[in-house]
Amino acid sequence: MLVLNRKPNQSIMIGEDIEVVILEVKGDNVKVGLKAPRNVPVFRQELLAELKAENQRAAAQASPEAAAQLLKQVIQKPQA
Amino acid sequence: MKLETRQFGPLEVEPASILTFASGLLGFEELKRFVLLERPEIAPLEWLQSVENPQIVFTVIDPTVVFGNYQPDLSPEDWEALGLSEGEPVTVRVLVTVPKDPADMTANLLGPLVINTAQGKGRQVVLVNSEYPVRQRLLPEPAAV
Repeated sequence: MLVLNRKPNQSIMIGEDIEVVILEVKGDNVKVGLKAPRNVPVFRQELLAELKAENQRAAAQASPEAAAQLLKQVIQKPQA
Repeated sequence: MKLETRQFGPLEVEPASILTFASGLLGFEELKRFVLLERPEIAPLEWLQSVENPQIVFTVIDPTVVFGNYQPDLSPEDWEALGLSEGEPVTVRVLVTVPKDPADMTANLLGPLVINTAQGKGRQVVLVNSEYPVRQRLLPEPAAV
């Protein structure tokens, strides 16, 4: 891993069009600004980890037949 | 073609019905090909069976059945991966997690599956700028007793 030291208001370029700006450092919190083209997805790493974990949970289940029965009851009474 | 599955045993599927998820699903990046199966015993849910791994099968639902106004906002990258122009019709399914008590089942609205049926292309999208939850209950909370 590349390790760089930065001070507030200094930034790092990734390629030509992605800029990571260190905005503020307060205790153990770092406020980071990101400038990236719209087609570059940017998200917290935890979000991706959460989605992966949810997919794993979804795949591990046994039989959804009972769930389907419950859903049918709800759908047959459509809400206004 | 014949497919081996844990849930259904050997299964005959039309090659044309196989959906290719070029990036896989999150956490299952190595699995690229799936089939969507409608079965009366789990309707309105559907199965999403892995072609490559007989053990892996997901349950999904058409979100409009339960969440009428659900509108995933796809990025230009998503449209490109699906081989579609922005705004063209797509098939949307959301993964359903069924825990021990099925009444507590949840749908993943933050990471929907979008499908270009005509070209057999699918993609799990991450709706980065949305407020949709990873676990949205499908049934109302049980009333407090």
